[in-house]
Amino acid sequence: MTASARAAARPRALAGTGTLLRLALGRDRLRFAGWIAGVVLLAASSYLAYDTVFPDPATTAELTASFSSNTAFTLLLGEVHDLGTPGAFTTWRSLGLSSVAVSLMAIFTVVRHTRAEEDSGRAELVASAVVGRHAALTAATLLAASACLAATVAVTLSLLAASLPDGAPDLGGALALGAAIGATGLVFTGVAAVTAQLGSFSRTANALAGALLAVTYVLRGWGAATSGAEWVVWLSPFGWGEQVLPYLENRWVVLALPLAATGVALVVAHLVLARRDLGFGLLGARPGPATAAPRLASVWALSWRLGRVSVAGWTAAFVLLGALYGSVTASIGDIFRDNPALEQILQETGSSGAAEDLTLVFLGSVPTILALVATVHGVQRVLHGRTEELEGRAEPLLATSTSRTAWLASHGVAGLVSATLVYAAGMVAFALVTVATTDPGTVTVARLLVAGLVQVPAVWVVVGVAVVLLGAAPRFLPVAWVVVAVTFVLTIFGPALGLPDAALDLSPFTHVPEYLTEGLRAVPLVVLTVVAAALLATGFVGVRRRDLEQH
Amino acid sequence: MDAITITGLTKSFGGTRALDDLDLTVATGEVHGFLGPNGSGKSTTIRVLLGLLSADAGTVRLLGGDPWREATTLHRRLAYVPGDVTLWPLLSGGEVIDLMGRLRGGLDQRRRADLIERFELDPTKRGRSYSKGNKQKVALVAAFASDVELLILDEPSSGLDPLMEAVFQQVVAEEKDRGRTVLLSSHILSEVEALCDRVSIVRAGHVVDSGSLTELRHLTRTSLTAVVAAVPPGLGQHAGVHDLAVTQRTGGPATLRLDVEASWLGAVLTVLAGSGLQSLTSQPPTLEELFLRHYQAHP
Repeated sequence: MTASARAAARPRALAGTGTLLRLALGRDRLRFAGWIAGVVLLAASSYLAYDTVFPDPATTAELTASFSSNTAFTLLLGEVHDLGTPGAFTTWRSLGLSSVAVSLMAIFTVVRHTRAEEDSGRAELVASAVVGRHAALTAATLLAASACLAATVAVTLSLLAASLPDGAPDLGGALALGAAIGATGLVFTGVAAVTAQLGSFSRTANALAGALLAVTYVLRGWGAATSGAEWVVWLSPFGWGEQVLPYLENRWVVLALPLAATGVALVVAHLVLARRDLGFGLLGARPGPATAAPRLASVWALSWRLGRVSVAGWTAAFVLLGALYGSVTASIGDIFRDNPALEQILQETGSSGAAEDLTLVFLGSVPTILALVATVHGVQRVLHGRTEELEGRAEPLLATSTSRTAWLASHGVAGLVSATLVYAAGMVAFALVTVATTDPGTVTVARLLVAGLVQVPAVWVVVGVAVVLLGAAPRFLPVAWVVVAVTFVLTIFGPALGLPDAALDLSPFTHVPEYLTEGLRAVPLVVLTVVAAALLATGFVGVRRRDLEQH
Repeated sequence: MDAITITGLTKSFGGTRALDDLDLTVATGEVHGFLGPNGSGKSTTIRVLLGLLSADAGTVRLLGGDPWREATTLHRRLAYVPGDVTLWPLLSGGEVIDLMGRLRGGLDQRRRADLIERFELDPTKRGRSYSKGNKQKVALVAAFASDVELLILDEPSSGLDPLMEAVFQQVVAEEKDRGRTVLLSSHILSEVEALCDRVSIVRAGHVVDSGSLTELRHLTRTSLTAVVAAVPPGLGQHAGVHDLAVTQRTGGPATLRLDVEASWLGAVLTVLAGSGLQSLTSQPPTLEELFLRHYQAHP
């Protein structure tokens, strides 16, 4: 063969990328719309709510002081730089969580179109056509990157629109915020591209990337909340986004960091891809036992077996999270040392600036935050039940003497139980570390544990929504995630934004008594438990009536 | 009492009618073949039998009970091999076999070991590492090793190699000798011929024919190849004659190839005998022909 003929015969590594990209876009249009709509809603609503929340400079100063001194908020949302303008407030409130949302969207997109395709065997079908080795990964990352870019544009435009009534729109600030959000998403596009090459299943790839996301997010908050550790913020992509300081300084040069990190990650991903076989990961699969352990004798045991790695991982993460939060408690009083004006403002406005009260506020917020995150794990476990059904693994189980109720319980009730377990682990770690690092007499382990216990019925209600959907209306299961997100936003931001009580009451966590400051009120807890039980019962009734679905 | 009795079963999904007034009877102790073209409703019927889908109309009796209401108790007495076996990626084959057995209420350990050896299955491989045929073997071993009265098999051997197909047929024959009832849905006609006592043919959600193979054969045609001195006039239009093909070298004898319905065989042979019959070959109806005629839309 002549040189030119050989060159023509060698398939290009990226052949078919365009087709794959179009195919993937067609499948994911709605998903992107949903994620981006949520992110835009968070940003625009913050901007629009500004004038209601901060009507005058005095309120602004007071609220700035109270937010800055609430360490729980700092851990979750990062340092308060300035709340004087709507843009700065929007940044503080929405940058962190919007970046998380866009990053999750990017991770899921990349993994869905690379690892998950290989798992299902579709990739094999595609690769047998004229498609280059790197086409699938390139198409997936291009798609995720485009979605991040779309999020940037959408956020920018929505903020500009929200600022129109005020007069001069701040294009630089809006663009900086949008770019910070999108750039963080790009970083996790790269991370997911790498994790999709490791591990043997898409669940592993998602879990690895998600774990890195969670660790870097917590790291950012912890660095901001612990005096002397501010440099840690620079280790996290979320820290990079924050350090762009949208609306305040718009430091565009900081964006070089996420872009560089993304580039490095993508190069690594393609290098690994070039070396591995389709369908396998770098981490291989070990052979298993020839017989089953005696305990593997029921759907409960099966559900535990399938989920135990996930539960172990989440428990470890929660223990770490609880310990980190607990370690910050002691330094709450130091806030005033770093910012003396804060104490004065708080005293002037009548809310007590005493360190003990601030500590109590913090200690009261942490169980709520931990409980909210625990609901994510619970809902995730319930959703595994749907995956099992759609992939045809529920059918053989239900063809044995397993009842539908037992099957639903093995996923639904298991979700409630493991969410509770994981949350308990985090609370125990938090309580122990707090008491160990603070002065004796601040709070006891028992009181903290009770403060944690009262959140549990609210967790059950949120996970219960997922159970009733799996049982009665599985087509609507994605709504469970919407419920989690809305509960999150309402609980964390609702009170701060002065939302009407009717809206706040939608979140079950609003009804949980503030045990540390107000004491125990049993009635709301009983009501929440009854609601959760009713949701479960409806789910069980529904699962006995519906047809089993496949694919 | 029959193992399975279905009368007038109807099931629709949205606008599509998957099952249309379907009747099926499987007597206890028989191996019953369940055949039909793709998409004719075989798997849907099986799912209704297992209580996974509810019937829109009609009655279904499984082992004397209602499969929708009494699923849990009835399922202890049956074992099911799905058409599309999906295993849990992280569980090994051996673990899946044991789990399924325990969920049913028991597993015969000696039979389990015997079957694993005969099917040449490696029980230590994880679900994800199995090839399609091996996944099916896992499901087959799980079903055959259990101590149940009824086996419902949905295309159980479609991925097995010929050697394993032979093993499968042996095993089903052994089950039958033990008195178990088997409902076998299959496309492999040789397997059906070898194993089944009676057969039901489904098309478009309705059973179009049912009976033993002998009975069904009587309704089909014999292929005749005859060499005659002169072509009998009007043979192509004779009652019971189909697909007549004549080959004749000028001046020489004519070779006729034709299909004749069983009830007209005598009359046609008389006609041929009167035309200077020189040689005659007759072939019994092939199974393919039998089923293909039912599978296609009737003219």
